[in-house]
Formats: sequence, structure tokens, C-alpha cells
Amino acid sequence: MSGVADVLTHVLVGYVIGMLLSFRVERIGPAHVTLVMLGALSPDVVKIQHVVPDGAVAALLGVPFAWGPVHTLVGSALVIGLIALVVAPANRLLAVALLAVGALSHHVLDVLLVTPTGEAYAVFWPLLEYRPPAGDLYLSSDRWPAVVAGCCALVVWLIDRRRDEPAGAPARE
Amino acid sequence: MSEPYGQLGRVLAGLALAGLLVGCVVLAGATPGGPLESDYPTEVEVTPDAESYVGDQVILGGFVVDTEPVVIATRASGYGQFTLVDADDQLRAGTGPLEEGDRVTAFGTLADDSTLLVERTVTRESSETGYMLVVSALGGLWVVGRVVRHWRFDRTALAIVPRTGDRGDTPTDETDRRTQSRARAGGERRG
Repeated sequence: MSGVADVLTHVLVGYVIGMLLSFRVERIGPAHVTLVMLGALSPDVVKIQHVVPDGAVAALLGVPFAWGPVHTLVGSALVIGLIALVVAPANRLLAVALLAVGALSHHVLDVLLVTPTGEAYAVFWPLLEYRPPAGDLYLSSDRWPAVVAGCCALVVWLIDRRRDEPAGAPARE
Repeated sequence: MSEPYGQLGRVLAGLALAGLLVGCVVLAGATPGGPLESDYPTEVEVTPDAESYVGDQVILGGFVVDTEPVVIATRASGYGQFTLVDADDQLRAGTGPLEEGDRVTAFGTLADDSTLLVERTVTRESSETGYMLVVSALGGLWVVGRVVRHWRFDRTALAIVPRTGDRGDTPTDETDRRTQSRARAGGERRG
């Protein structure tokens, strides 16, 4: 399980980024914030391996198999493409951009993890075998990243509530 | 907006992407290592045949069975014991010093068939696995819930669209037409 920060932290970070974008860009609504969160979650599809291990899939399909590539930039690009095809054309380009922002935040956070070898995972696989040096900031099991992300999420949620108060409504003071 | 390359183009694009993804997971399955695993031998290979890895850089995961000096066992049975030289000094994260029962992953050079000269150690309390599972499930459910709440399947477009009321909701061709005909009907009635 090493090398993968917990899903909730990623989703919270996706929420914060999505909400900040929605403050800036008129077109981005709650549905689009969800896309950033989905993008931030998408590399963690790799966690299916804890339920259905590589070997089980390989035995079932009769071909070699490993979940690993889902958790690379190339894998993310392919998954994002597939999700975007499910979205209606009017929203598709925006969906690709928002999913990509989310997935990128995931990879940045995971490269910052502590690893035993001091190297992160092969982010660019299969294009490159290169493993960037690990950021050594936190363990996947550390709780403080989730707490920090949770606090940021609370702040943007409160800001969003204030913004949604109808214009001209009497001030609370 | 209708499908730019028609529904056939959409299906072909989907097949191409899915094909590439399948190619990647099969390729990763066929090559040793893979993008997430490190290139170094682990306790799985080293424990039964430690002599042949002497002098190599290896990763040994296990639990602490002794602390002065730090000794880990790579198998739950207590078999596969290795002395970790400098394990406490090279601890990267987690609360040191190491105690009996701690799970550790140590990276370093195998000095002899039961001694590892540690370059880095990472530890994790075993109770954290449960926390990780619960918290990860929470994150996943939140996203699924939001997708269901903010998106709906449009049967005419055969695609998901933001639920009405969400910003960025652009009506599909079909709803456009419906709105127009409704407007026309209203106009005729009035006229």
C-alpha cells in the first residue's frame, strides 16, 4: 500500500482546487467541482489491487496483468479520456481540463510521499522509466495531510456559502 | 451540441483509449517491476536466498523482533531475521526509536546473509491500515455521491450532463428543440 496517500486527502484537495476555480470561472459550477474531485481520485483506481490482486486478474483473463499503470500520468490521461467520452460534448473539453487538474494534483501529492528507497514511482511509465526523487514530506498513513486538506476544504466551503448569499441581503452584523 | 464525430466516432475513440489502457496493464504485468514497485529486490526474493544478494541494494520489509540492535523478521513466523545497522538513525518518518512489533521497511546494502547496512527506514503502525481503508472509502463515497447529485444521464445525448440548476448546464439539441417548439406553441396560442 506504500506510495499512495489516502484517498480522502486527494479528494479534499480536488474539492479545494475545484472550488477555487469555481470562484474565478463563472462557467464552473458544483458539477464541475465534482469533476476535479473525480480526477483527483482517478489514479487511486489502482487500489482495486487490494481487493482484486494483479495475479487474480491475470489468472482470470489468462494474460499478464498489473494495476500499476493506472497510477501513472499516461494511465491518468487514458482514464480521463474515457470519463470525458461519457460526458456530453458541450461539457467535454472543460471536463478533460478539470479532470486533468485533479489527476495532476494527485500525482504531485504522491511524488511528495516518503518512500523506503528515496525514489518516487515511475510517473511517466511506460514512456520513461525515470523515477523522480521522493519529496519525503509525509507517509501515506500520516493523518496530518488529511487534516490540513480538511481545514482548507472547510475554509473554501465557508467562503462559498457567503458568496451564495443573495446580493442585497442584509448583512449579518 | 451533438457528438462532433457521431456516436460511431465516440465509440471508436473509447475503444482506442481502452485498448491503450489494456496494453499498459498487460505490459506492466509482463515486465518485472512495473511503475509502482521499485527496481530493487525485496524480502520476498532475498529471504530464501540471502547469500546471493550480499553486496546488493535491497528493500526488506518486516516487523521488529529485537531493538538492541534492531532485528527484523521478514516472515510472520519470525523466520528471515536480519540485523538492521543504523536503522534508527536512518528513520525517515514515523515516531522513533523503533520498538518491538513495529512494521518497518528498510532500504540498504546487504552486508552478509543476515545484516543490512541501512540507508533509509520507514515505519508504519499496523493500526494505520484500518484507518487508511475507512478514510479511503469515505473519500470514494463522497465523490460517487456528488457525481450522482450533480450529474444525470441524458438519454437523447447518451451522455451525462450537469443537472439543471448547476452552472454550466448547456441544454442539449433535444431540449433546445423542445424549448423552441414550446415557445412557438405559446406564440401561436397568443396569436
